[in-house]
Amino acid sequence: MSATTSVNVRTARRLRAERWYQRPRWRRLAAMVALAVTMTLVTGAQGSHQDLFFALEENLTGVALWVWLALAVAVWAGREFLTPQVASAVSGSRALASGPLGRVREVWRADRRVRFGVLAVAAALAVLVPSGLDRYWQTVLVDQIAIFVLVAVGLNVVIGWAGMLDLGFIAFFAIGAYSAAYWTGALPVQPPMVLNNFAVIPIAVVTCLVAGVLLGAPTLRLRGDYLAIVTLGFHEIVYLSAKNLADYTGGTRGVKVDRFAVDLGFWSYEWGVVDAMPYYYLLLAFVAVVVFLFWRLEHSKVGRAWTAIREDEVAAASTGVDTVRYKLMAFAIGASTSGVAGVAYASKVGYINSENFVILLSVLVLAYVIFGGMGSIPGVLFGAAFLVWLPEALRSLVDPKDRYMYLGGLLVVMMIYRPQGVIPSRRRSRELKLARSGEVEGDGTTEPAGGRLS
Amino acid sequence: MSLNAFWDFLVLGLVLGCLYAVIAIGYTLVYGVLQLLNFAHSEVFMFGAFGGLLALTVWAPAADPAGVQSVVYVVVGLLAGAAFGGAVAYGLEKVAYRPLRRRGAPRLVFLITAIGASFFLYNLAGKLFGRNSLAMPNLYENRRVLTVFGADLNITQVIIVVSAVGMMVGLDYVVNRTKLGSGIRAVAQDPEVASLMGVDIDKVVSRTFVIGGLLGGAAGFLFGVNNKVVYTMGFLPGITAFAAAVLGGIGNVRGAMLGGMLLGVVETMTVFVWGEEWRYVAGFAALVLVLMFRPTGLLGERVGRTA
Amino acid sequence: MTVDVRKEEGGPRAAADPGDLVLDASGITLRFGGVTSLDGVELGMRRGEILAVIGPNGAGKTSLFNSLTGAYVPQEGRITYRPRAGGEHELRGRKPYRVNRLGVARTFQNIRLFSALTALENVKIAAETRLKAGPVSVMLGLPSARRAERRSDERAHEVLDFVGLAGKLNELAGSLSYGDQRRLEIARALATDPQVLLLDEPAAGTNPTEKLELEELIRRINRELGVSVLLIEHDMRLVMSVADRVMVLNFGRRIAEGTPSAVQQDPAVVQAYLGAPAADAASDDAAPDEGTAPDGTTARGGTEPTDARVPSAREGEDAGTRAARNEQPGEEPK
Repeated sequence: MSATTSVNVRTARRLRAERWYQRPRWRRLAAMVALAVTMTLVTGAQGSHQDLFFALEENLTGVALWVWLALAVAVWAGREFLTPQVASAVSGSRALASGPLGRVREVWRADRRVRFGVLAVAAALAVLVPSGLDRYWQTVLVDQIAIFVLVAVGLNVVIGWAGMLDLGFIAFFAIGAYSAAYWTGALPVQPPMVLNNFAVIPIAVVTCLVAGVLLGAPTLRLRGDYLAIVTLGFHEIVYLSAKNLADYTGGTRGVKVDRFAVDLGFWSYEWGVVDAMPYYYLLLAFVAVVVFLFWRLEHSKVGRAWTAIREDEVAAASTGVDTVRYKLMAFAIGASTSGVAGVAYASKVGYINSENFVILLSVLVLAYVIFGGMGSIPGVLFGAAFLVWLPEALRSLVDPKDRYMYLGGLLVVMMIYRPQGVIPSRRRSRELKLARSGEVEGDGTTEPAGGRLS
Repeated sequence: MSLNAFWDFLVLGLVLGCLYAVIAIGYTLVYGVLQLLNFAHSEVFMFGAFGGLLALTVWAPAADPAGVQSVVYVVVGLLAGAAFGGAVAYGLEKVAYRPLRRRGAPRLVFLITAIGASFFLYNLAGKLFGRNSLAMPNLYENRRVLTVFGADLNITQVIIVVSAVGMMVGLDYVVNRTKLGSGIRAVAQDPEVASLMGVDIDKVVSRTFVIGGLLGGAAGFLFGVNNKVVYTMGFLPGITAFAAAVLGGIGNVRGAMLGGMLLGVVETMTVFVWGEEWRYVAGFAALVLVLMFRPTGLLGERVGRTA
Repeated sequence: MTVDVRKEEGGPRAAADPGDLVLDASGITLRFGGVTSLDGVELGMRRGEILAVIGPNGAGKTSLFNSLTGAYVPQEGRITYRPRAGGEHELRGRKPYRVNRLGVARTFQNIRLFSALTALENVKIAAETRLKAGPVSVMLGLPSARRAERRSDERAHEVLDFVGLAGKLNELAGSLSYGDQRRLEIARALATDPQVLLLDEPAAGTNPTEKLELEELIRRINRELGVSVLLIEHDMRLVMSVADRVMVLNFGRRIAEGTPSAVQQDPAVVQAYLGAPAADAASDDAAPDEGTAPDGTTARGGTEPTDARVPSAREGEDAGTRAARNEQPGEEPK
């Protein structure tokens, strides 16, 4: 009985998805033209506050508009009139690619040794290649890529595994960084005792754990979207406190923080100011340890419980899963990872101020996780590394101020065409597939939002 | 501080509250029909401000407008703001949300799309119109016109209150008395039943976005008159208005109005007591507290039931 | 005379002692806004019995289940649970996971599996809730974590074997056949070692063969595992053949309770199902149970109302869940 209902729902969904192609042609042409105009504006000239219409005039009278229009019309025409040819070309190339690709995937799945081999090679590359880079890229690699990879891996626990949208993740990063500053005696307020940066790490972990639990305990019972906004609010509160309580935090002027150093009496080492590589190895070790621990977590009781909560919270609870406890656990684990990254950041850069922790960063980290593939560790590693690297690489080509625009657009397009990310986790893509066919509701955070309408 | 200053701040708060109320309606309406937090609504608001600014730049007001001239300018600004806001909201629904709705995508995907769209839109505005903050052209001679409890009200504030109240009354009429309004309420209550009853859900959703956009855009213009116009202006008022919608009970139109007023007052009172730099902390703190202790808001949720 | 046959078999199953109530609920009243969904319902479930709850649509059967398992919090009433080990627990107002851990497991009317996980993983999740292994021991790979993993694996295999899904361990729950999904849901519930199992329309949507298998499974759960079963079912043939006692709900009230044959004769029940007091109408018009032999060999009366009712029952459930979502979990519905 309900089997037939679900079949009907599925058919209805497919039909609705294809309705776009049953509309008159000119509508699709209009859409393509609108897209072309948008692209012209997006890639066009930078506007100016002296002449508000400068950018509009410049863009809409330039050559670029015609190039984009021609492209758009060509795509439209191809789709409308050459459908069979395009389709066969697409399927042909897909078949061509899927042969070898499929075989690679098979080998990858079937043989443990291949996986270990690839991992070993990747690890070797990660260790060896950076020392050959020039100083600028080494700094980017450490200050940004390595740090944000660590943060993203932490956020992945919260959003990818437990399915909770945390928009204030950088708040914990800030708490970690300020803990480092406080316990090493860098802040205007003095700690009871000055500690080594390494000794601050466990303290930061505990501090962030506590902060995560304090924030999470009352709010995790809320609907997913409320949680998002509460975490956003939390971030703003942390940020504004860091900024406005300058007597305690140094505010926007900032404070100098000591760097990492080890002194065991018989052996001591100091991570210097100039050379980034020692920090790189240190962070690489952090990331490796965290990834290993989290990988274990994912394939354990805890990881399965998270999946259950994400998929159907009601069913999970009536199966005996303490949903609040597990959500809190994810929240706290994520928060403390972010805190560790904060300590590492403060200790590497040697200087923090409140502007290092703006809300933008929270959204960026979210973008990294989603782009790479929520719930998939390789995906998140790749997503963070790639998206931090890309703007740096494009620095000369694209106005750095525009990159958030592209990132925003990328998120929207990803959600429409590839919501599972570049390297998706297998569980996640299954869930999305099932949600698409109307089988399940898909995602724990919850219920489909507009999905109910179809 | 003096009692006088207190009244001043209270009145300021109510004026600001009117704006928040109008923006909050946009959040609440969309939530009512889609159960979706439209994070990008703050950008709708921002584009409304730019719309008004652009229109008034083209129209280039006379040096010292007065009387009827001023009224025309303000009306043009409001209409242009509303038009921009409505257009952006319409495009947003069509491009970003509709494909997801078709697919029955999970909520998380909607939220991420909303955040992405918000980022895209405000940075696009920054690119198109520069990243400096701009002042609206002079539309009237701003002077004190009224005194309430010893608190002065200038023309700007009167305009804000009058137009905001006008919009809210109009919206209340639309939601409760028109066919579109009953469509919105039907979809909010039960989309499946509504579609069986012959309500075109796509159309209702699209128009709901447009209505929210019209209000948000007009509010953006008013905000721009009062403050400045800049591409990042949407975020904080947007969040505060969202908090207002939740405070009143999300999905509940009258709740959004009440919540907006309350938060406006709370915010200016925070400034009154602790100073300007803590302005937005009040909104966030209020939001967190409300969600903790009364997650369904003051008047309860749902457009269908109470609007 | 299935009932008699079963009693002759005896087995480990002790005859249900009328004085030994495993679940004892009284005066359960549940209201949603102005609608009273349950109105002072009484329920006395004996240890080791199979008790069926029947009633027309909207009678409050699923609401009763949700109230018993903590998904809803009734405004009034007491729900006392007496586990075998002794002691008493008040279930009203307890969180669903607590209720489950005490030993009351359930399935759902509209199957709620973790569709993107395999059958084995689905059951493991349930089995693991009984094992102690925190995130730290898991991350560090401590022996306790490894032991827990191994034990949950064994337990999951055992349970899946018991319900007959041993060959489908690694299939995705979402891709199993309808009947297998029902069984997997039961397996998931069993993996938590319940003393009371609540089955919400387990036969809905299954084909006749699957129905027979299901009937057998319910009996085995009851007899071999000694689990008391509370069953909501529209298929009267199944109810009559499997249940020791039947309780009838209508408009949120208990209108009858007793052995299947006694309930069948009850005029109040006949009236509830037909909406008219005319006794001759009952003999004619497919009263689900009327006139059929107690062993339920005439399937007509059973299947027809099932098909007619399930869809609307489903809508009722959905509306209920939606209402529940608007409430804060663990709070009293307003």
